[in-house]
Amino acid sequence: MLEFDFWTILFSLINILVLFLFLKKFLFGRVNAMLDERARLVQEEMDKAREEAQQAEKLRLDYENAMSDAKDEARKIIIDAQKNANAQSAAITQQAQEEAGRIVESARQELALERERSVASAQNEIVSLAMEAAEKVLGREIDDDANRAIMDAFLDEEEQA
Amino acid sequence: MGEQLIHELENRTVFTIPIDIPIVGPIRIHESVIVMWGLMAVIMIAVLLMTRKMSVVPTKPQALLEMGVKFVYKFFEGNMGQAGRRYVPYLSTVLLFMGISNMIGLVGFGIKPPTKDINVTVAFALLSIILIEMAAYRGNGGFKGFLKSFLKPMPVMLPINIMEIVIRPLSLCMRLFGNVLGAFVVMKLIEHVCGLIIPMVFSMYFDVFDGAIQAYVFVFLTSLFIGEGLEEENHKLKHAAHSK
Repeated sequence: MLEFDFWTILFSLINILVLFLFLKKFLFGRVNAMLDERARLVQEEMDKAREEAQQAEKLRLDYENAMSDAKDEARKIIIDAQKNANAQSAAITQQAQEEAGRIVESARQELALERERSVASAQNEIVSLAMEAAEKVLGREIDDDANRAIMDAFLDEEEQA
Repeated sequence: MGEQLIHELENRTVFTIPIDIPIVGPIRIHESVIVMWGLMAVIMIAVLLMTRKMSVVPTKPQALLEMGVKFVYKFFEGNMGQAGRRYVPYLSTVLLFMGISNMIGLVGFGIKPPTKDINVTVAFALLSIILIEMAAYRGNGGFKGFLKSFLKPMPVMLPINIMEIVIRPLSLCMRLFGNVLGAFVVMKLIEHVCGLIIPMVFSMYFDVFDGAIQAYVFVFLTSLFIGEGLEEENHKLKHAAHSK
């Protein structure tokens, strides 16, 4: 009952150690590895979720910035367009006015020219008539060129008076 | 009846390998060693089956297994602190092996608990004291600290501290052996006196309850002694965690 036996003690020691090493490798090793793996996965998921939330927030900010930028841009474009339109209309108006002025001017010039021409032709007519009349009165032919110069001088005098 | 009981109490040698080794004699294989081998085989196969297909999303059996592992870690860390974490697999092995060994008498077929053999409890106690002193050596930061720990809490305690190296394993081994043997004897007597039903009731106490309690007490005390040796290391760990 109380006899000590070297071999039984030795085999018991070996048995306990073998079972310990076995359980350490196949029970605790596997279970702990699995628990660590799960903890790692959960941590990873949480990190990922946090990162994604940050990214979403960043995207939201970007989007808002882009929206406000776009609004500014649109406003600027409208203002520019308005400015352009105004400038263009002013330019067109001015051009039209200039054109009209030019047309009026040229018409006036033409008119003046026409008048001059008609005056000149009238003068010629008058001179011719006068000379004809004078020819008839004098009964002889007047030296055309010399008399015409005299008549012209006379008419100029009359004009200036 | 007395003769029969004495016969039951003997540690039978099942077979002998006739290689004569000086001093210790030929290799004798006791009944208790054979029973241990059987238990080991069953435990190993069960563990292999349970941990064969582990997944991150656990099935019900795996969740139970994880719960058990987490429970022993929590229980032993309560006694030994953070620094004792590395001793948990050994202590859990002892708890499981010893618990099943104490209760194996329940299955019948004349199988006797291996822990009824004092040589087996000696082996358990030897490993316990080796682990306790190793933990104290490590926990006190080397040989100098280990020697100094014998003067704690005061130098007068030196002889008692030295005696404890022997007393601790002796008490562990004898308590276990005495309890299992006592329970075994009482159960044999009850079985001898009355029929079938009454021994079952008593067996609930002597085999199941006492067997579990003894295994629990053995690992509890071992972890407590280990924790004592790890006090300084735990203190340092706690300090490091605080200063973080």
